[in-house]
Amino acid sequence: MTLLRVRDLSVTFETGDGTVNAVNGVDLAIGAGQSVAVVGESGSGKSQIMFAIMGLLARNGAAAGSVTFDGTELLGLDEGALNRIRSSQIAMIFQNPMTALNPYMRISHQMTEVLTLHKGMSRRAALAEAIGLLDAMEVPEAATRIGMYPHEFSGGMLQRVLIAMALLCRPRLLIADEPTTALDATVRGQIMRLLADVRARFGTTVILVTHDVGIVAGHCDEMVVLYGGRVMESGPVARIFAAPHHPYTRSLLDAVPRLDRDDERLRSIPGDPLGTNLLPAGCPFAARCPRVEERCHRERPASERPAPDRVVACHRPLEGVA
Amino acid sequence: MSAPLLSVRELGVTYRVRPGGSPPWARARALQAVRNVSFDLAPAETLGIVGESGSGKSSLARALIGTVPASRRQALWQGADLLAMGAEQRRPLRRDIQMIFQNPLGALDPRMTAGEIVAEALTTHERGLPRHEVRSRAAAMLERVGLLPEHMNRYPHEFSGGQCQRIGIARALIVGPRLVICDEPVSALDVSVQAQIVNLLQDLQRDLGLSLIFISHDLGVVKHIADRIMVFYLGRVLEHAAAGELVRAPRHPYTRALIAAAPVPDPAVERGRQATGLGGELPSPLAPPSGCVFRTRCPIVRDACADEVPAMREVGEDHVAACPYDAG
Repeated sequence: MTLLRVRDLSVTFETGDGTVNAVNGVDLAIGAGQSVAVVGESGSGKSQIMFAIMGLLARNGAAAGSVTFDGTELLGLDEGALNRIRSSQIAMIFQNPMTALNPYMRISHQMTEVLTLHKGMSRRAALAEAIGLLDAMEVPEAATRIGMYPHEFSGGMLQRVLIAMALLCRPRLLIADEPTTALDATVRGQIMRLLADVRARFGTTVILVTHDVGIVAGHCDEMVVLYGGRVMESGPVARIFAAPHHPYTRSLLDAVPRLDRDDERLRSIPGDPLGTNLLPAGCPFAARCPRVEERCHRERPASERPAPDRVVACHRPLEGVA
Repeated sequence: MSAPLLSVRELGVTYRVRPGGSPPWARARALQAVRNVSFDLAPAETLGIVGESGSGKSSLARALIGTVPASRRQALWQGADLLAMGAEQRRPLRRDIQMIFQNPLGALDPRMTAGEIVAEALTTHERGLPRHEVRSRAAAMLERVGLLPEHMNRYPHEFSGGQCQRIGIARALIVGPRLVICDEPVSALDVSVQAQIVNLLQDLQRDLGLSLIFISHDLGVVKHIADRIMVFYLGRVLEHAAAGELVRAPRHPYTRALIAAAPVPDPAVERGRQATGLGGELPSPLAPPSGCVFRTRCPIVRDACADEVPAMREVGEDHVAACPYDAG
C-alpha cells in the first residue's frame, strides 16, 4: 500500500534576486512500513520536499503539484486539517537536536504538551506516557531527566528525546531530516539502530533524508537520489548500490572515501553542486557528468523504468552491470 | 626517518572554564583539553589526527600555531622551542606554519576580493614587494589551486564552499610554508567536492614537499590522505600507527569502535555488522574518567582500568596503543 504519494511536486521561492527553483517536478511513492532514503547534496531540494509535505515551507515559498497521504491531499489543506494529520499521522525530526527544542521549557513540559493538546490526556497520564517513551528510547533515568532543560542533555541524548517526542502520538510516518549529521561517529550508529528499532516495534514508515550514502547502505530498503531538485534515480538500495543506472549515482558512490579500500586517489566529481536559481533546460547534472552528450544540455531526460522497481532519468544510463 | 621538522613532547593544553549554568562567582575549573601528547613530524609527511568532539584535536592545532597557550614540556620546530618563544620571536615561524580552517566562507574576510585575500598574506610576510609582483604571484597561486584568473576580483560570497576552501589553501600556501595544519578542512563540504579538495591537498603536498597535520572526525578521509594517524579521545592519544596498519590492524578498543562506526557504502557489508557498536556517550571533558579515559564505554573494560592511566605500549613496528588488554 502506498502511504505517501508525491506527484510532480515543485517548490519555488520568491526572493529579491528572482525566483529560486528548489524542487522541480518530483515524483515519490512511499509504501507503508518501508524505510526510504532521500539522498542528495546541498541544494538538491531534499529538505524542501519534506517541508512541502509537512506544510512548513518558508513564507516566500510555494508548492505546486500533489502530495497525498493515505489518500488525503495535503497541499492546500487548511491549517486545522493539516494540524490533525501532522499531530497524529506524520512526525518529523531535524538535523540539529540542540535547536529543535525550546530552551526555556523543561523536557517534561514540551513532551506532555503534545499529548494534552492533541490527545486530550491528563497531565499525569501524559507524563507517564512520555517517561515510558523516553525509557523505550534508552534515555537513562528517564523519570528524573524528563525534568531537565534541553541544555542539560548531550546532542545524542537530545536526538533520543526528539525521537521519543515524535513518537508520542504514534505517527504512521516519521520523517528524519539528517538526524545524525550533527552527532559524533560513535553516537551516530546508536541513533540509526534506534530508528531501526522504532520501525520494527511501532511499524512506523521512515523517510531518512541524508547526504551520507554510507548510512543508507546499512539502514534503508529503498532510496531516491536527488540532484538539482529532480529525481535522478530511485529503487531498492541493494540493487542501486550494486548497479547504479544514473552517472550521478555512480559518481556519488565513488566519491566516498572508504576504509575498506586502498584507493590512490579519491574519485571526485568536477565542478560544484548546482545553484538553485538557474533552472537548466536539460539534465541538471549535465555540466558535471562524465557521460554527457549534446542533447543532455538541451532536453530534460524523462523518467524511465528499466525494471519494474527502478526509475532513472538519464539520456545515457549506465547498463545494469553489477 | 629524517630529522623531524616538528617534535612535540608531552604537550598539554588547559583552559580555565566555568561550567555552563554556574553562577558568575563560581570558581573556574581546569579543563584539560590535551594531555601528554608526543609525536614527531618528518618533512613532507602527513600526520592525520582523528577524534570526536571534545577530543582535543583542534586545541592541539591551536597550541602549535600559538593561539592558545600550551603547558608542559616542549614543541621543537627544527630544534627551536616553539612554546618558549615570545610573539616577536615567533613571527618568522608564522610563515613556516600555516593553517586551513573548517568553515571555508567564515575564514575569509567578506570585504576583500579573492585576489586581495591571497595578496595580503604575501605582503604581510614580504614587505616591500612591488605591486605587480604581488598581483602576479597571487594570480598564479589561485590558478595553482584550481581557480580562474577572473576569480581574482570576486568576493567570498560569490564562491561555492569548495571554491572558498581553495582560496583558503592559496592564502596558506602563497607564503611558502613548510607545515600546513588543516583543521577539518573538508567536513563542511559536499562529498563530491570533498574529494576534490582532498585530492588537491594531496597533489600540493607532493609537489611542494609540504608537511601536513590533517585533523578530521572522519577516519575515511584521514586514512586516505595521512601517512600516520593519531587517534584522540578526551584529550589523550589512544593509538598511533601508520595509516594502513591502523585501519587494518587496530589495537585499541576505541580505534576498533571508530572503524566499526564508519559506514561503508556497501549494503552487503553494512547489514552484516549492524548489531555491533559502542554504547554510552562521550563523558564531559570537565570530568573525564579516572585511569583510562575510554573505560566508561569500553567493551573489554576491567577493574584495573579505573586505577591508572595506561601507558603507551609498543604493539608493532612504529605502532603504539594505550591499552594493556588488547585482544590482538
